[in-house]
Amino acid sequence: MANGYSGGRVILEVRDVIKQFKQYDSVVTAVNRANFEVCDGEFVAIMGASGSGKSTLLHVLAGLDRPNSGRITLRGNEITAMNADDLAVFRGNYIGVIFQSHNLIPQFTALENILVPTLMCNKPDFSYEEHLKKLVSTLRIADRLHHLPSELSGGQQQRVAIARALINRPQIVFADEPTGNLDRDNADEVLSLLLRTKEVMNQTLIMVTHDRSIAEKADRIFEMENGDLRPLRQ
Amino acid sequence: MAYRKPYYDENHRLVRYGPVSFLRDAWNFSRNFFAFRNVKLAFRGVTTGFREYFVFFVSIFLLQTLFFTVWLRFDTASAVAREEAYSGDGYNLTVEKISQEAYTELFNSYLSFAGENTPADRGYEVLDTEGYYDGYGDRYYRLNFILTDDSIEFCDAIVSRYGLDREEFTVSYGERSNYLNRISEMKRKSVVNTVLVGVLAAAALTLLFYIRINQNKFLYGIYIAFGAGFEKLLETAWWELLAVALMTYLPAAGASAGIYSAVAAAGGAKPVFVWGRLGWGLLWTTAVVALSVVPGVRIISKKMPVSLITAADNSNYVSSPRVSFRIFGKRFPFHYELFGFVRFRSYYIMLVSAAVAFTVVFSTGLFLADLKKTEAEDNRPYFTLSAGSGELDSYDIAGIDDIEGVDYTVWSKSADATSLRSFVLLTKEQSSGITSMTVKDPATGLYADNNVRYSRLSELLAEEVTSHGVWKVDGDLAAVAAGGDTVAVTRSINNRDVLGFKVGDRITVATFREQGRPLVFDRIDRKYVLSVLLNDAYFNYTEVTVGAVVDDGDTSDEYTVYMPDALYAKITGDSSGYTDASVYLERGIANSETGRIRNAIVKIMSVHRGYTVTPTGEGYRRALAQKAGARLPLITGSAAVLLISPLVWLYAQSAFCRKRYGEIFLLSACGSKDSDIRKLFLFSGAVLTVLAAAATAGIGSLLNYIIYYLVNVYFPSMGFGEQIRYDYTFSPLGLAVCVLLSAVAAMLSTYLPFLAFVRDRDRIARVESGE
Ligand SMILES: Nc1ncnc2c1ncn2[C@@H]1O[C@H](COP(=O)(O)OP(=O)(O)OP(=O)(O)O)[C@@H](O)[C@H]1O
Ligand SMILES: [Mg+2]
Repeated sequence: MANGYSGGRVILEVRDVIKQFKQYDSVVTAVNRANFEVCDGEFVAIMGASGSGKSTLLHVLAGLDRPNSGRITLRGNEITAMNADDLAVFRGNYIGVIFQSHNLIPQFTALENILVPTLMCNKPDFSYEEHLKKLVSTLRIADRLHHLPSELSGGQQQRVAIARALINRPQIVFADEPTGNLDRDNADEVLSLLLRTKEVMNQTLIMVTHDRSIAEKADRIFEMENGDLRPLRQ
Repeated sequence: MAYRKPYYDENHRLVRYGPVSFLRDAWNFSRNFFAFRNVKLAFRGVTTGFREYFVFFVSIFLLQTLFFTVWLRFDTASAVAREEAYSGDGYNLTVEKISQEAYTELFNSYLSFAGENTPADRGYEVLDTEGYYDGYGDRYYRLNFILTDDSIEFCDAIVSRYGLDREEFTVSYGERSNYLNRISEMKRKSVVNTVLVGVLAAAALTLLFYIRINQNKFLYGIYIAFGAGFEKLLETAWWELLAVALMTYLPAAGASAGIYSAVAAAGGAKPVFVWGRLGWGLLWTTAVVALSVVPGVRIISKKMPVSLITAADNSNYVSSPRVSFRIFGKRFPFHYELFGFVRFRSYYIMLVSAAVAFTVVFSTGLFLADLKKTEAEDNRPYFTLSAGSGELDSYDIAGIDDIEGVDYTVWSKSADATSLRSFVLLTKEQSSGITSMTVKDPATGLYADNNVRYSRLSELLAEEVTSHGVWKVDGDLAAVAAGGDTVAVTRSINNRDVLGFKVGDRITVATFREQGRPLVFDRIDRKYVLSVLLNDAYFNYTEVTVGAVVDDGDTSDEYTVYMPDALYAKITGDSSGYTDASVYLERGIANSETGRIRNAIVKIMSVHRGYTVTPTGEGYRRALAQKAGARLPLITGSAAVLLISPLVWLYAQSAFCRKRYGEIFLLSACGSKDSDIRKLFLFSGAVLTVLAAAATAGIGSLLNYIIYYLVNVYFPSMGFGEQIRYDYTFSPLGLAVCVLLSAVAAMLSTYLPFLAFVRDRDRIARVESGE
């Protein structure tokens, strides 16, 4: 394999992806010609300074935003060529996202927030109750399920967002600083949960993090600098 | 080929048009769609978020009330009409001039229609017969039939069997089939109304739902991020509104039943409830709601989630205050907010257009209600008569006038100027309203026009129309009819007073003398014919004086010049008598009387070979208008629409204000005083008030005129709709109400949310900082 990893077949292929933002008369190139592949079951960490384009890259990879140019292929489907509608359904079936700013729906309780993905995609013969129980107990939010986001601490909101990303058992998880608001112990706990579910469900995990000790656990580390992506450790 | 949903195969590849049966798709779709969790979620969502959905509750309630009122009115009115039709000695069909053989055939029921061959099931009964001799000594019969069912096929069968020779048979439909036709017409109108109300309702709800979606971009962004495609969003949205509609459904049915019963009772009619309408109402509601969520959902589902999620803080509605500061420096708050109108222009344009649209619908409703009233009060002829090859003389007219129940008779004899190769010459002032139709006559410098009819005005007719107030007359009609070179003129073409005639004016009537060159008319429009004539023919000119200007109720595409008998004969070359007449009955005459009146008229008319007596049956309409209150649904409907307008404002502005909380916090954090922020909102409200009032007054009255033009001028000239004389009247009061309402809605909807915000500030501050 080009990037040295030989675990399985390629699940994510990124070719010449460019994402720019135009504001007034200046242009920010948040992602500058990214090229890489990720294999099935891999754990990839992306590091980099603030404003270097990590979140933007993640959004584009997860099909939440369109790149200006380039091609992204997920599970053999070229998501850059899909229309918005098919893309949404595809996301619902295969992708889990943890946003950097948790993006919980303020008028829904924690439980309702967690269940949003199950309502939004009709996975056939899918029952989530067992899974939900395990998730909330590991994430230690079982007693906060009926509270609104505004009544939760930042760390608790973070964990609700993680549960929401995992409830549908996605095959690829994109996580944007999932441990950013957590203390050391909690961060380790959440990371081990993510890694455990990754193992059990044979997920692929792509995670943005500032935490070098977390990144060390990844199969590979990329670093972003002013929109340029380069491998840090193979 | 049926559409097949794309799906993922076992290798997780997207497959389009795969071998998935359409039925299975449909089954999966409906299983998901009607899943209990959807229903539960929708009901819970709209009940817990009641404030957010309030405007939907109110508007859907109003629309459903309107729907039920339309059909209650129809059911009641048609029951009244049916009762009228079957009361007294009503009969379905009268056949005149039945020969001896046909009489025997019909009376002895040897005739069979569509397999009915025994007297018992032949489908008709002969109610009464009358034998008479015509002017040539031949024996004829008049038969009145009563049909054993509502079918008018029998009438058609009679018409086709005996109506072939019009000289021998005069067939006319009697009251009952007339009523049955009217009922089906009423039904058609009610269906059209329902569709119209449905389209309006869908438009209003689409607007509201679009506002809702725009104010909740974040929510929909998250939905889409976690897998909701168009179908799913549609499902969610549809269930939300359907839940609202189901909750308002029975209350709306109850409300319209209550209101209508009260109104019907006041008009002396008994409301008729048809339970099946409840089912139709449900279908209608479902369809309207489904239609109104589609556009909003379609638009949102094409967006990328990130843009929706971040739109929550930098949407085009609330963009960075930095820009405002940069442009207007420290001149806060007025310039700041004024620039806000530029920043949020698309929002304000939408808001103001909504206000205009609602007021236009409101005033159109009032206009149509008034039109209905005019229509109902309009005295139309009940019978129109033609003497066939004979002439109506003063004995005929006097005889008909003397029949008990006949109010008066208006007879007419007229000719179209164009077909006589004639025209009139008008001055610039007289013709300034029709310049596009006239051709300038080089010889005289006057304006030639042939959009005119010449009509004969005998002294008797002048007296009849004057004494009964049938025409509105300015001048001395009797003097015109007495003879000489004076005429009476009308001023209207296609229901608009476009001719500038005044009493004392002089006009010239040109009549064809001979042609100078071969006349080639390769087109038939009047103006073309006129210009050919002016170029290639010679004319005799008769100068006449306008002795009276009249409004005879005509709405056609020609105005009329009424001439005394001698002048008419001279201009048209036709000195024969009157052939056509219209018979007007006394107001409030019972429908059971009309049969007797008809028979009396027929007796008088039957001396003329080929005569016809056609009951145009307008009396039914007066009865209905009186009994069932045709205007009520229109007025309630337009009032309902007018009430939705402030709700839309309040809804949109509250949500808008909520989006500005961050901005307001920021402003106070930057040191602006509460009083400044209050001023900011008051100022914003004031600007919006002025904008809304101006738009309502300006665009509103323009659109009203356009609607009047379409309904009363354009459609009738194209042959659609009722032809009724109705002048455009500008109602300052109605406009004032609309403008005031827009203004109040604009001001209150800007200021009230701000007051609510001040009240809730502490709570909001907590929530904002908690995020
Ligand atoms: N919607 C947007 N419009 C304009 N510019 C944007 C937008 N989103 C991001 N940017 C810009 O793109 C660049 C990359 O942003 P991004 O959020 O990807 O950084 P990041 O690496 O995730 O930073 P952090 O570690 O602080 O989260 C930044 O300069 C940012 O200002
Ligand atoms: Mg980031």
